[in-house]
Amino acid sequence: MLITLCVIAAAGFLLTRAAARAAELQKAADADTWFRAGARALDEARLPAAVSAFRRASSMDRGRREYRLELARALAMDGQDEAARALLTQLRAEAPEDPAPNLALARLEARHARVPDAVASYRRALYGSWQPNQLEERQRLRVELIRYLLQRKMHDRALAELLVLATDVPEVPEKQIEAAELLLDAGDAARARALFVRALRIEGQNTRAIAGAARAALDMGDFAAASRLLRAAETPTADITELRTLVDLVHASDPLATRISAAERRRRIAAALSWAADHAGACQPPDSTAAAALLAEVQSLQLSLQTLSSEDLLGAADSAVLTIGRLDDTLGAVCPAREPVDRAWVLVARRHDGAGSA
Amino acid sequence: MSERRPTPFQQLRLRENQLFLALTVVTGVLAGLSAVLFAVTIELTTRAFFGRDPSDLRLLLTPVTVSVFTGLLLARVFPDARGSGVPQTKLAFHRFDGGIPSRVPLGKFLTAVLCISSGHSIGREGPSVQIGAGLASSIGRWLRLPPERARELIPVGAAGALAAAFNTPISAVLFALEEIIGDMNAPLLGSTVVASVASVVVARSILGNEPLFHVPAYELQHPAELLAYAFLGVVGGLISVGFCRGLLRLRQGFLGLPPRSRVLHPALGGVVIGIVLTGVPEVMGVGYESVDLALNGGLLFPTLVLLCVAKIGATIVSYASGNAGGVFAPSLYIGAMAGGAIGTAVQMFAPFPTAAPGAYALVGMGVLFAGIVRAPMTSVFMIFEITQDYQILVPLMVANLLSFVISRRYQPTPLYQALLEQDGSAAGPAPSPP
Repeated sequence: MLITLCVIAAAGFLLTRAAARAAELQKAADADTWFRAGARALDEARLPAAVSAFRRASSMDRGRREYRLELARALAMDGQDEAARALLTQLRAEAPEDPAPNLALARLEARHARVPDAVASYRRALYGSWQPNQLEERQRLRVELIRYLLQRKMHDRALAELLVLATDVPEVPEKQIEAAELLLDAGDAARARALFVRALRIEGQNTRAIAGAARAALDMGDFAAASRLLRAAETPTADITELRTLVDLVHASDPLATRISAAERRRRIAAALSWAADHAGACQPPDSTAAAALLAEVQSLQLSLQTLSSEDLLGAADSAVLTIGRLDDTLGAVCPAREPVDRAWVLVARRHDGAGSA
Repeated sequence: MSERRPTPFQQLRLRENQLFLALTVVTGVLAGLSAVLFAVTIELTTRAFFGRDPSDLRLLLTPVTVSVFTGLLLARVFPDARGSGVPQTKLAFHRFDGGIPSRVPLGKFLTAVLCISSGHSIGREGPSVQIGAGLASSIGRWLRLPPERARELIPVGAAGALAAAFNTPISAVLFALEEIIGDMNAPLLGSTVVASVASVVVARSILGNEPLFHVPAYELQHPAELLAYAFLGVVGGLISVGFCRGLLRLRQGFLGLPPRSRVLHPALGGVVIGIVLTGVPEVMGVGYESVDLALNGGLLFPTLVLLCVAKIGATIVSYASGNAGGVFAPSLYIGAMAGGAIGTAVQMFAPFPTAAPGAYALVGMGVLFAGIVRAPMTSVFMIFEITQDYQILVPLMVANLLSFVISRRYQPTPLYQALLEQDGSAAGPAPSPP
């Protein structure tokens, strides 16, 4: 009789297992339907409906991590950040090597300006297991991290990541240019220029690379190289045209240029001081003491220019350029140079100072 | 010292004990399978009744339509299948020497599936207990076991079924001792443990080892938080008393109607439930999805309060109108919502650091279970086993104890005993030890 019971138990086990399997399949199918409904709702920006649908899907089929990940994303988009964070933290704890929840968390923390947490999550995502195309995904993510660091003015950390990016960048002009532009934004003009040049070796007439290389050269004070690069462009874009104008303006305005007549030098010094006076007068910084002092200096130089001899013009030109440089240092953050003529004067000052970009 | 050979009587006794042990294992397995099959059938039937995304009309009409049929079954064919099943199992163990008619587990299975799947707000764990115990009783009768042995199989079957239903082997044993037998020192401890383990092994081999609810790890944030949990215990105790009194009163009302009308009682309940479901479909059936949301902080304060109140009302109506189903799952649900609401308020106003509302929802589950079912040991271990969260044990014990004390103070007769007394089993089993 005990054996009969065991046989009944075995039969019961098989029946129950079959029923459980049928229920599981039904649930999985329903979960998939809800998931797709959620995705549709998300595309149509119906966020509450998307959240509800993803919730149903993830509660019906807990084994599918992507359901919960999409739920977390929908929650974040719907402004339910705490719920999104809790869910993403749970997903990360379950599978620390999965980069997706780390990336989603990074973006969430970034939105809340929790910089250390965002950077930590980006890093975890970066070194997670990306499948497939691990290198490509890591590059893409590193670029996102770099952009975020630059946005937060964390140039040193951005540069550290950029060095890794530049080392691994493939011989694809688009990727090289992207990395070079970021290097330029981070302030490493030399490396940026080198990458732009690498891209130009593959595509000689890539206008984005030409413009970028020219900007890098300008930042390094190499106006001749910038001029050469810009002139070599066969189909100049608006960017290249603007840069050409800028370079021409610099050449035409620089009071310290060689091989110009004394009259021309005097004219340029007067133009420089006139610009400096207008700029200092128009800008209203919170602390006006330094600006007032500079304005007084400019006005004093303007007065003295009228009686200067030709031999003393070079010195006056030097003073004028230095004053413009100090003006930019004092007022640059409050009143940045936007117009081409403003940018040209700043470049002139930097040219002779050996630094910076316009 | 010379070895003593066992006497023939001792040999027979040894063999009988070994056979009983084997029988315990098989009973545990069968009870576990019955609980799993029961749960799975409810799932499939609910899907069949309501589809994937039911319309308001379907929500309104399904409970009453199915209840007409279940009313007939409960009135004419399976009258012993009404209600939870736990008090009836207790009665069978204490009064009728383990005799549960064979039609009872079958009738309970059928009617409870229909009642729960049609949207009534009642639980499946109580019926699982009665089905498991009924199966065990049938096995005892079939094997022509002596009456005392057949009786011993009742808590074995009950423990096996509950262990599989909740995936909680320890709590199932405690429940069998605390509630069915009423004696924590029972000699049946070994048998219930064996059955519980066998049942869980089988259940996990079919359903996997996922906990019933997935909760983040919660812990006490500040010692002063114990005061907040104590407050939850007090409130939970009062809610338990309100729930029990409301259920008993409404049930008495239904029982006071002419006996011929008994066939319509479930349908009357179905009308009310249908109306409730069109507004608050989350209170349908067992409702573990909503509990999971509350445990993970996915519900706002107004929703928590609404679901708590709606579930209390819906469960009282479903149970009192004579449907087949239990109060385990509803007490967990109500507790989760009440706990979550209190936790939200505490988080907003407390001058000290507090855990997330989900932690309070977790403790709330235990609080209502302790207050309604009146099984404090089981309630503590059950929450721990369901969630596998050990950190919340101390607040859980504090809150549960308070709820238990308050519930006992203002509702001296435990719910299961009171239900038996309403059914005319005035000389019911002795109350559970404190």
